[in-house]
Amino acid sequence: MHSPPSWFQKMLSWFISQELQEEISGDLNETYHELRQRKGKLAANVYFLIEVISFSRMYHRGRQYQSSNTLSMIQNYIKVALRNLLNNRLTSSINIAGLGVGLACVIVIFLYLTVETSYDKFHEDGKNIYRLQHAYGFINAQAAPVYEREYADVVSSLRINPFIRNRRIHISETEAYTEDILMAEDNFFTFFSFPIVSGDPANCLSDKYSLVISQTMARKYYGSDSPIGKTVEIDDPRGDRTTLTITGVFEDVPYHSHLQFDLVMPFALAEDDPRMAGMLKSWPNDWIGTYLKLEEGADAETLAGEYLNIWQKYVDPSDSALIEFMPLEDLYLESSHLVSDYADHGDKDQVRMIMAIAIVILLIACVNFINLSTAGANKRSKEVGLRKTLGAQRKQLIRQFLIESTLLTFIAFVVALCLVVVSIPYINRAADINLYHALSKLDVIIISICGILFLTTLGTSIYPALVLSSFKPARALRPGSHSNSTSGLLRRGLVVGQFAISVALIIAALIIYDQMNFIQSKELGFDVDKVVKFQFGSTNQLQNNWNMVKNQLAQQPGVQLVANTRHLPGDNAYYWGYKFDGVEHAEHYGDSWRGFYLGENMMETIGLEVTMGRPFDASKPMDSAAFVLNESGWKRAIDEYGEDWKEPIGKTIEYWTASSGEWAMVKRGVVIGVVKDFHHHSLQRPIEPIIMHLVKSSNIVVKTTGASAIDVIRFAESNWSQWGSPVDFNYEFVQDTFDAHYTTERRFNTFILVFCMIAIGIACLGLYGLSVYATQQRIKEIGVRKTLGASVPTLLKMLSFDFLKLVGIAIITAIPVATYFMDQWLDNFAYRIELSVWHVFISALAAVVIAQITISYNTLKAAMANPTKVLRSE
Amino acid sequence: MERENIGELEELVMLIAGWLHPEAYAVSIRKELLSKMDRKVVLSSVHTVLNRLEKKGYLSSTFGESTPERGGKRKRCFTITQAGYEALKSVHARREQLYANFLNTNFNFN
Repeated sequence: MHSPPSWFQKMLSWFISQELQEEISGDLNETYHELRQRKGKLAANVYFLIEVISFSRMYHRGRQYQSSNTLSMIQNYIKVALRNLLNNRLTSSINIAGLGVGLACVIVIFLYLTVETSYDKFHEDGKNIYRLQHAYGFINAQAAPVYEREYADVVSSLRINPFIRNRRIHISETEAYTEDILMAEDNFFTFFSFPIVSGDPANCLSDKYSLVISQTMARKYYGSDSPIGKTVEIDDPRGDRTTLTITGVFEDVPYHSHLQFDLVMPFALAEDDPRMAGMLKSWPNDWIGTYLKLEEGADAETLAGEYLNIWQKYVDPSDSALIEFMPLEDLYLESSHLVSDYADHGDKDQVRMIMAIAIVILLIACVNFINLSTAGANKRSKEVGLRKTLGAQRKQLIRQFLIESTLLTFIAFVVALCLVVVSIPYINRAADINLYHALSKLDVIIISICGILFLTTLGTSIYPALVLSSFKPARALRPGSHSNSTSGLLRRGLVVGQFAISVALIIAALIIYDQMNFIQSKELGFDVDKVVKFQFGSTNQLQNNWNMVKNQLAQQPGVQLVANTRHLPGDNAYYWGYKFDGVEHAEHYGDSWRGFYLGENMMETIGLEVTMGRPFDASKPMDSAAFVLNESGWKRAIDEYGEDWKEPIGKTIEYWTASSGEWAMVKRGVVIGVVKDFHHHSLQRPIEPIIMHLVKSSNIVVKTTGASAIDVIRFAESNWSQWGSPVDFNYEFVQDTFDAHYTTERRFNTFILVFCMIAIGIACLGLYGLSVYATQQRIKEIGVRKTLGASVPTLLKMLSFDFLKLVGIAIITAIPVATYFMDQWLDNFAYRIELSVWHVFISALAAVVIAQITISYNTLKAAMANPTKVLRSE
Repeated sequence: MERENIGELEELVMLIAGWLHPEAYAVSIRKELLSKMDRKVVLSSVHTVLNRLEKKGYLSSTFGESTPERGGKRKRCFTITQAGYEALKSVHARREQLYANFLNTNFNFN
């Protein structure tokens, strides 16, 4: 005999009355029995549940016979709540607006967090994959094979060469594109879980001359034709072309991958490139993205520590080396500190900061809500008294006020949703983020938003419900007794807290704004205004035609200087070995220095100021091996190599690299000058000691008089193919590129500013609402004072003082906290402003002024009111 | 008395209830709906219809015996009342008239 699960009786009794229960449960029992025999337990339970639920339609039939007034009481509560809402339009709208904006901010921030934390979670073994990194997101080519060979915990390894940039791909004789190509070992598509649409994931990269492309590229190159088996030619470094066969097509890389790529070619091709082939065997060269898949439960920390042993075994027994194993799933948010990386990054600190702001905004909105509901309590005390006299229990009253707050919160929530939907497109554009991506995790979002809503309702409703329901009927109904000092104390406490947060935010906003201005106006030490850069694509080709290109460009009207350079300010200069003559270096290749590679005319073009000696002169053949230090470099030389270097001019330096696999001297020459420090990095990072020397490169840099820049660009475009460039015509304004280093940061700071404003605005709304109540309560007192001869200014002073006292306390509490945290924040910058008394003073003043303006409308109205009107009814 | 309309499901349920008498209760009626008319309905629909018909006075009910499958609960068995019988008959007559007209019409389907 199968009987249905016991919960069903219980559930049924919610729906239907006693009378109908016997026959219905009997029928259901019988059906269940039959279903169970025919379809098995699970199916029977599922069908059965549907049956039981569908009986809920009998609800009314059941209840008709019962007399319960719960339902009608709830209806009454809602009715009273709505009436109250309409009666107090001002406070209701302050409440709804404040809470609505607060909730909207929280929802938007939540969407943002969902997007930011969703990166790299889609790989099958993602939990066991680690990337090897230290100062860069890439390391040498040797580490991966050694780890895989010598450590049992390493299941497999993957090396990628992150992006051969601007490589020319010829689809046919007439059709060619310039693309960035990823080079990856043949296990790429089995190591990661990027889905292959056609082709074999395990073997599509095993042939040395294969190419795997994304769906977008497939469409771009071949339209609707199948690309599999087609051949393309790519330019190779020998000036020749290599033919590759397309062996696979993969699904476009999802937005939440740190690695973004469209074309993958085999790592083995690196052996064909003499430069790369040398670097493959080199240890000091960092250039390969390296991933290791570890055994389940393997200790990544220990393995990372093993790198020291590897380094000492294969490279230098006396040297030390440190790397970190970055879990793939944390990579996006945890690696923003890297000096250089090919991966996309988010910033954990930014995420934390934004989250904190969301919480603060919601908190302020909730405090408003609590304050306004308890401040309005006196108005409700008569209702409460009456309800209690008629037999309402406290429990019921609590329920009533809970329902009321829930209703308000819900309306605020609807307002918030509308705001969010309307504002998302603007936010997407302003923040350069796609919040719609978050919709792919709709379930998480719905659950979390419900959670936020629940907590908000709880936070806003519990305390007011307790206060309101606690009135003693005898006192509440006695005319003229309104005092409620305990809740007043708490209310004042909340106002102080809320305003303290606002003051802190004002201080923060001011400092952020100041710092942003400081960064923007900082003297950079160079001038790249109206400087245009063309990437020629091939160093050899450019050097062959350099004189022609230079002369043609120089003859253009408006061209001031034509230069050639590898590095520009903002670029990441390389570290190599520099041997200073007469100095005992620990290594045979000298000390590690950052080398900044310039070309002909470059120092003049970007306006570097020579403080000692002379700049490079391309007409002097000896200068190709000459060196120029910046002032920091000069200081470093004096500190480390002795007083001799106070006179650096004429001293000899050797330049060593290991780019061919072994350390070798590249050139040896004398120091010819020293330049003033300039910001070779963006301002987030400090100026370092650098050594500049001439290196031939493929960038043409032209300084123009602003108006002629467009003509120069047009001229370059028309002559581009004649000059023999292998890549598509391109140009950029160097100033824009340099500024781009700050756009993310500036954008983020703007956001913080906006959120601060919103928070302050919400706090003011609350203060305004409170001032309404406070003046209303004292309206008779004011009337009496006025009849007895008090002047309007005295009354204003008296009324404002009450509030300004609270604001004062708030300011005093906020200052130490805010200055401490902002000082920490400023420490993130290499060049920062110092906190001054002014920041604090201006913020405090602003807070007082804002508070005064907020309350003055009401105080003024109260002070100006005609006492006869106010006192008429006494 | 105002004439009540009879819905399609109500009509079917009454027909089956009349035919199944005296074993006409919700579960058996549902089974017949499935086997004779190929109509899959949930139990609560049948209950709703039965209750509605009883309120209209077309059906009357008594409690029948209980069986072990029902967990000891009695079943409620339904019988057609005089009013129900008349209502069905009039529905049938009207239908028949309509069908006769319908079948006598010539349609040209290409």
